[in-house]
Amino acid sequence: MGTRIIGKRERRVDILGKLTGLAKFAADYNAGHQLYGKVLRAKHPHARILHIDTSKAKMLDGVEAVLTAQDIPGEKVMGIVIKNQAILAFDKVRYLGDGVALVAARTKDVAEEALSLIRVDYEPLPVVSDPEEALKPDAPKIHGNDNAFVHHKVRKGDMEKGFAQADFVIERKFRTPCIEHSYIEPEAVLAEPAEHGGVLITGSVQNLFSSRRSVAAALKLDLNRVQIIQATLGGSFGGKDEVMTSMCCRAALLALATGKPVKMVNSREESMLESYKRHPYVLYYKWGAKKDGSITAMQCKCIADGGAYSSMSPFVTWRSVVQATGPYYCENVKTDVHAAYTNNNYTGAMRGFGSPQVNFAIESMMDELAEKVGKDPLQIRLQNGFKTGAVTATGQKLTHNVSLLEVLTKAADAGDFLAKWKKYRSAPDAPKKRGIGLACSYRGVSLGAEGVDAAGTIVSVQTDGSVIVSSGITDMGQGAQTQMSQIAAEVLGISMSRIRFMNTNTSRVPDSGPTVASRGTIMGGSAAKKAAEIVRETLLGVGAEMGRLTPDQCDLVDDFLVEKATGKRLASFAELAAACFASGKPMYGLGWYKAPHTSWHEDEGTGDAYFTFVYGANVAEVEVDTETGKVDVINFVTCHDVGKAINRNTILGQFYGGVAMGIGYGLLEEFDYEDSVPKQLNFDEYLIATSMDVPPIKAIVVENEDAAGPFGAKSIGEPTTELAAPAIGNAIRNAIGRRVFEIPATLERVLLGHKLSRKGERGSARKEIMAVDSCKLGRGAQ
Amino acid sequence: MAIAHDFEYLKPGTLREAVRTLARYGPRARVLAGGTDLITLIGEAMAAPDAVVDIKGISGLDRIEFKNGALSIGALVTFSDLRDSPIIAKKFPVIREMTGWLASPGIRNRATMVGNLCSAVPCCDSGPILMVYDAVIQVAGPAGKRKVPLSDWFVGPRKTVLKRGEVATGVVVLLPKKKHAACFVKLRRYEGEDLAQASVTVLALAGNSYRVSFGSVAPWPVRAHKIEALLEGQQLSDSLIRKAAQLVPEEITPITDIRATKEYRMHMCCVMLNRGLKAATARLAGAGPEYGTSLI
Repeated sequence: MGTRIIGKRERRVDILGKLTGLAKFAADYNAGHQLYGKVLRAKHPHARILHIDTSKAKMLDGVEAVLTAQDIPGEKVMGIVIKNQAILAFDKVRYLGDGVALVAARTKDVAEEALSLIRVDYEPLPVVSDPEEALKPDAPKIHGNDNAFVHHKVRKGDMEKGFAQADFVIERKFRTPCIEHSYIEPEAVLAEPAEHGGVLITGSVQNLFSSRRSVAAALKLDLNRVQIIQATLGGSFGGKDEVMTSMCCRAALLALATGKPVKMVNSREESMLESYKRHPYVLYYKWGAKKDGSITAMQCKCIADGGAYSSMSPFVTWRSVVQATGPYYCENVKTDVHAAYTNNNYTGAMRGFGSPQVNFAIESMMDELAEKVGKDPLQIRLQNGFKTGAVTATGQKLTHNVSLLEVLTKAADAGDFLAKWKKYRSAPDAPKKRGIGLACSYRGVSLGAEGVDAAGTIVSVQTDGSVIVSSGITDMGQGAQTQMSQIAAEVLGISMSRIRFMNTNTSRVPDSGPTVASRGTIMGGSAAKKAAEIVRETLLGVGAEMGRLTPDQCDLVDDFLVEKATGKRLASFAELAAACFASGKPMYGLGWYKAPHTSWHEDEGTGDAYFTFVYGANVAEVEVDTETGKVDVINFVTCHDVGKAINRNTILGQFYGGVAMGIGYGLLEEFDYEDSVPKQLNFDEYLIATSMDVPPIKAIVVENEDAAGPFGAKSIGEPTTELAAPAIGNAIRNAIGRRVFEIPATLERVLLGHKLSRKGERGSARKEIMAVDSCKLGRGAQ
Repeated sequence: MAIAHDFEYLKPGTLREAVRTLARYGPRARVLAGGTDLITLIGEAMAAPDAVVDIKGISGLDRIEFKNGALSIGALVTFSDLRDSPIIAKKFPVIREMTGWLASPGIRNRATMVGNLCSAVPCCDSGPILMVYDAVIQVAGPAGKRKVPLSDWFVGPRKTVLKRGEVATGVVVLLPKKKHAACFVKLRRYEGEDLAQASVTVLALAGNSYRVSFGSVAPWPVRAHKIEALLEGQQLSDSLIRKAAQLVPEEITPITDIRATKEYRMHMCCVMLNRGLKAATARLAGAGPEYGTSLI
């Protein structure tokens, strides 16, 4: 099908505002008479709260409210799956980021001072920092009497038979780190008492509808009394969900308690201390295989550190369990994924959502298998990789175009993988050695059987022919607004400049679920297509009357109503819009898209988990300094089947950004604790890959249109970041003959094969001056 | 970053006035030049001075001068000034080499080399570089001017010999009379802005004479006198370097902190010494890697 706007490198609809400074991020919003809200956070990672005395803080001049959990009129806890996260801790604190009390004051300094006047008596409790320790019977309990709170499984075939058929067994243990989202904009909201009751919140919120539910429940308000408007977001990567819900609840509580607008902004240190992270995993993989390289049994056990609260753990680990054995044929599979509570930061959604962890293990195992049977990494993957019609570990038959072998071959060719792999493998010893690594994956699109999967987008043509588009799917920098605008423009035959995309407002668009799981384009885009088609039909009806034609003889092309057969221009789009208005016809369309059927049988560990899948492959080329352990990524190929590239620039942005993030995961990033006290709260010690650390990236966009998505488009946000780490790990193995089983592959790990213990302090800083009270961390953020 | 701490901001126009002010406040005053260290300390409540004495109003401290084989760097000379200076590029290319890995351009535009010496953190990059040149710090104080050899300058992490009322006005570096070349090797965890986990500076002089210093692996930058004595007059060879590396544990006392472990730092000092010695020697012979090339 020929398209005019789909597939083009259209300019992002939000770019001019961001470049010129006109874009308003949450912290840019202010209101008259606003107060500043601050949170008093926990003093211990695990402690019983005996008493909170706020009397002195309340007496401080300029303080307008000091609140504790007692002051919450409605539900005191929130949680999307398991409700156990306190908006303000009342019985216990469970990690250092927990809030204990709130202050609203006329200035930030007064708010800070008030925090220091609140007295909290604690009874410190034993701390558990390691998820495997947490699962032991005698471990300190974080919630109730069991730290185990998730166990997902997948079962296929007969494990005994599978291992009996094997010529050999490979058994390995892997570890992946806890990492921080590192969005450039820390959390911020402005909450204002609403004109006719309720509250209006403007904030850096990713999933507005889930945040709204919790605010309404906490404040005992109907949903229609809580309006959340998304400010332009400075990045999220899955990270502005519960941490923002909690901030929205707190700011709204203060706003309603004082009757004044309340602004809350986290400093970077507060953000890192409080926000949730990507789950660290311990992974035990055991594969049985034959000498020819075919796999007879795959047994995997993963333990995820869920941290202090359940958050998205049940869903994140579910994606892990579905994808834990990768896109490879095997008749006998047994996978168990567990999540445990600890006193670390709670862990939740982060770009990748349970796949980066298992992919590191799967793709490392695949290379170990290749090594064992004397095949090369490409050969072993082509041999075992899924083809169209394959049945997955969960028993799902893949009926779409399974393009795994295509992306693998294209990535390998572009990176000159085989020739280099062979050359580097036999290179003589030298201080600096090169290596090349391959990794691939399949990934279920959208939410899958996690939950209800539907979304709405609104297209509204104005009387002058300009168009307003809005959606329940949000933009956080990934380009959702541009993608949906392009789809609407394509259907309406208009140029992009006619479209203005409104930031999401919970009171003006339907609840479309969260913008997660790379579902923006496939769900929001499908809804945009439907909405535009509704409007198009009306416009063509009016246009046909104007031209004395039938609607199917008319078309909308390049901002004109045209006669299809001749291309003759009958009216401009503006004239058509005016005529439509004059005829009293609606120029407004709500498109609603519900995802195709999925299923899951938790007890059997089987099901049609996702309605379609995407496929990707990465090639990483590295230079390893064998004397220092330093790994330089010198070349990179990233290849993904996106279904259809709606906007090539946005796609490439995802490709490059995903790789940069994946390099950080593989080589640098680690949110580390000592007894559940984070060792790093800013980017001086929490390292992410800079532009200087990212090599030239060759991006290959593969397009196999999928019937499930708009114009054939699928997902790309998360697949791009889930493969770099194993590709780098395999490249290191190729270079130095040793594998890194634990990421990040820091200098010490690569050189020594393990990490030496560290203390959480800077050598130059004396203890007494470093002991900054955690409540002072927020200083100066606003 | 907002400063929650109140202090007097004073900007004297002359050195004499600065000294008088500093003498009056004593330890309750801090000198402000670039401010990249001081302001951060105040912001993080790690310093709480009653007075901040800004020396940027004093004329003459912003000069880089090279006269009669002596390089003078004023207290207000920033790392960007050094990086852009033709005389530095020509006569002291290793100083320029060091500035390339020091923080980021934004910081380098503000931060001064003398300030870096006054902060006296163990990981300061100026210290080890200037040490191999036997640099001398110029100090003005109530009792007049005095000169402090860099080897006597540091007395602890974040501690120098500066006394009440004193301010460092510059640093003087003598160009070695013999033909020479140098090399600065800095261990960083990534290509972004990073503090030295360890560093090695080597100055190679004609006639097989070497000066070696280490940074970030002792309470302050240190000269490796034992290694220098071993190398003196010897033709550099792999076996000689191995012997030199064996002396590394006698020269440095690295610690384990959040950035790196003691063991790794020790290991890396040996690797960096090896590469630094070879590169400096090669440069002396007109070959070797260009200045600015990272050896690790």
